[in-house]
Amino acid sequence: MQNENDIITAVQSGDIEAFGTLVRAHQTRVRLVCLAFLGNAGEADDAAQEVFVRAFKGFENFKRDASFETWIIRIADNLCLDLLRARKRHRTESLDALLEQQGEIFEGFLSRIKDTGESSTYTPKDLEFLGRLFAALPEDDREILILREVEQLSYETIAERLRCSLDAVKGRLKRSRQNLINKCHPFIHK
Amino acid sequence: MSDNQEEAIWQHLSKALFGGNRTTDESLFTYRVMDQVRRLEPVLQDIAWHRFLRWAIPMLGAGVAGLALAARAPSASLLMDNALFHQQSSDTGSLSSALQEE
Repeated sequence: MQNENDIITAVQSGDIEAFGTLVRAHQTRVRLVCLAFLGNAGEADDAAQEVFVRAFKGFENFKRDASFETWIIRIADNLCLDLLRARKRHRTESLDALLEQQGEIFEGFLSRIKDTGESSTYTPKDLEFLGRLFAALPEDDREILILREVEQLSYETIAERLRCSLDAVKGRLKRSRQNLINKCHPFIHK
Repeated sequence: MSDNQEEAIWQHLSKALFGGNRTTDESLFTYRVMDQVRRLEPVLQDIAWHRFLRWAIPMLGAGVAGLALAARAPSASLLMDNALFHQQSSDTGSLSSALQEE
C-alpha cells in the first residue's frame, strides 16, 4: 500500500484519482464526526461529502505540519458548526426513549462489534442508529465526547478549545463516560 | 460496579460507538465524492489559469515597458562621452584662461 505522504504528493501534483485513496481511508472518521455533530445520517453524509470537496478545492492550503486526518477533521468540525448555527433547533428524542425503542437493535450492534475483533465496520443502518444516539446525548456530554472520542483530540487541545483547565476536561469526560455507561451497560450484559 | 468492570464496559462501548474504521458503503461514498471532484477539475484548472494570468500579465507588461525604456534611453557610453567632453572643455577653458592671466 502506498504511503500517505506519497499519495498527498501525487494529489498536489495534479493526480485527482489519488485523492480517492485519501477519501476511502478517512471517510469513516469524517462521517462519524459529521454524524456526532448533526445527529442525522443523511445530513451527515452530505456534509461529509462537502468536507472532502472543500478539502480538494483547498488542497494547496494543506501544509503537512499536521496529519491529513487532523486537517480534514478540522474542516469537518468547522463545516458542521456552520451548519448547526444555520439550522433551527429541533427537538430530539431522549436517550432513554431511544434505547427503550431501539434496544434490540443496539444490543445486536454491540454484540456484532464485539465479535468482529479489532476493527469495527459500520453499515448504513448502524450509522443511522449512531446518529440518533449522538443526537440523544445531553449537550454537555456530546460536546466532550465528540472532541475526545470522535475527533481524538488531546486533553490539552480540548482544554484550549473549551477554555477550561485540564482537570475540568478530565472531570467532565469522566462524568460523560459514566453517564453513557450507566445508560448502555444493560445492553452489553444481555 | 468495580473500576475494572467499568473500564471493560467503556472499552467495548467506545470501540462500538467511536472506534469504527470502515463502512460497508465506503465505495459508494468514495464514488460520490470523486464524481463531484472530477466535475470540479475544469473549474479548478480555469481558476489556476486566471490566477496565473493575474501575475503573469503585469509581469509581462513590466518586462515590455522595461525593454521599451531601455531602447529609447541614450546609451551609457554616449552619456559618459558627453560628460567627459564637457568636463574636458571646462577644464580646458579654465586652464586656458588661467594661462592667459599669467
